Amino acid sequence: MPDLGFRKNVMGPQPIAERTATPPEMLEAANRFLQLLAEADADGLCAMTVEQTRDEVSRLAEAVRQAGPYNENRIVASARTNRHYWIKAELKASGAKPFLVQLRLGEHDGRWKIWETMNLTDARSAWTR
Amino acid sequence: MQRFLPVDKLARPENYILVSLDRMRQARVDQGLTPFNAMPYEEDFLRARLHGICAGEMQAMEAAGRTLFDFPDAPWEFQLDMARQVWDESRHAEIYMKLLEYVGSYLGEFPESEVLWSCTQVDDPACRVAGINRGLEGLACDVFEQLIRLAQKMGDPVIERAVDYVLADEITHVRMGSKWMRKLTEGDPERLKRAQQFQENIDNLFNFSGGRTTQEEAAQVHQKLGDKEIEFDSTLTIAREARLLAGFNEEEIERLVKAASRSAAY
Repeated sequence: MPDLGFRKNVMGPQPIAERTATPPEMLEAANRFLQLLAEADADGLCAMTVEQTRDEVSRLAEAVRQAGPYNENRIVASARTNRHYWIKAELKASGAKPFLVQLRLGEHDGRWKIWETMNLTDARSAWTR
Repeated sequence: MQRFLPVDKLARPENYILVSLDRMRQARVDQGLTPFNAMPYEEDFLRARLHGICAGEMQAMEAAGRTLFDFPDAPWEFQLDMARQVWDESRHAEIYMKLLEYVGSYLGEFPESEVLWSCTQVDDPACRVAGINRGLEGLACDVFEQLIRLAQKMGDPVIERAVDYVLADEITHVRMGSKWMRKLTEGDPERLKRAQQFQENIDNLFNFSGGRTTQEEAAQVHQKLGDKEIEFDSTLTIAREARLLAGFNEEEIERLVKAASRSAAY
């Protein structure tokens, strides 16, 4: 879509609401999780995860340990379902196959925790069944 | 190029979040919400609903294009109708992208699910148009009619008119679906039955386990939209008038209403 520039200078309807800001604490938690994931630190990762997802996270850490080590990570995309946030991220290291992962973070007892993870590394898409 | 494209081969840019419907529902349940799409009484309803529609318009554009490609032996007029629909849906996607901006959202704020594309997974063009044009586009008539009423209550002519222009096209898409479902199955009642059954499965998939009702029977709940506070439907309604305009008969609409209330009993 063409950029219409500074909207207030554009004639016609103006937005009726502001964009919802992404909570910085959530991004901080996501980055911390990705850092621990790059190090395949299962204990550290599980401490940031809701109880029912800890097994899944341990398996993810094991997959990273076997494919890594990684020393770089970047958030590729984010979206939200109400107040839970989806984060797609990539782990990288020279000589290692990039590791693609999708997480869901949500607040739990006042802290941002991981509610689910998907290893997308060899999947065609997150819709793969 | 591969025909009958499976769900996970639908291409999207790297910076899109794709989430299967099951996972999306789980995310809502984990937050104490109903498993279905954002409901009219929720804070994010307008943004989430417009976003879902925008993604739906893109998948509808892709679906009509794929129908054109998947069935090269279909009548030429059928192919022309599908090409016309691709053009319509692409305009709709643009309209909804602008509406997203208007309500303080953007494409990508919410994840995209595979559910609409999964309704294309059938190798008979009669079933395809029954499912997509009559099932999904019929559902679009319901969703758009409700959005128009919501915009009227908000006193917002931008949303009201934009959605009304799109609804006018959707009505023609349903009519196209009805025409081709009947034409392609002429003299083959079994095939017609299969097409109708395919559409019924899609109708059932989207009746939200009985969460839908008619406009007249929908309970009204208080909600805040921006700086406006209004009373509005507590659930997705069935747009009888728009569906009649689209060529559904009273019997079909009644069946849909009954199916919705039947599910509520479970």
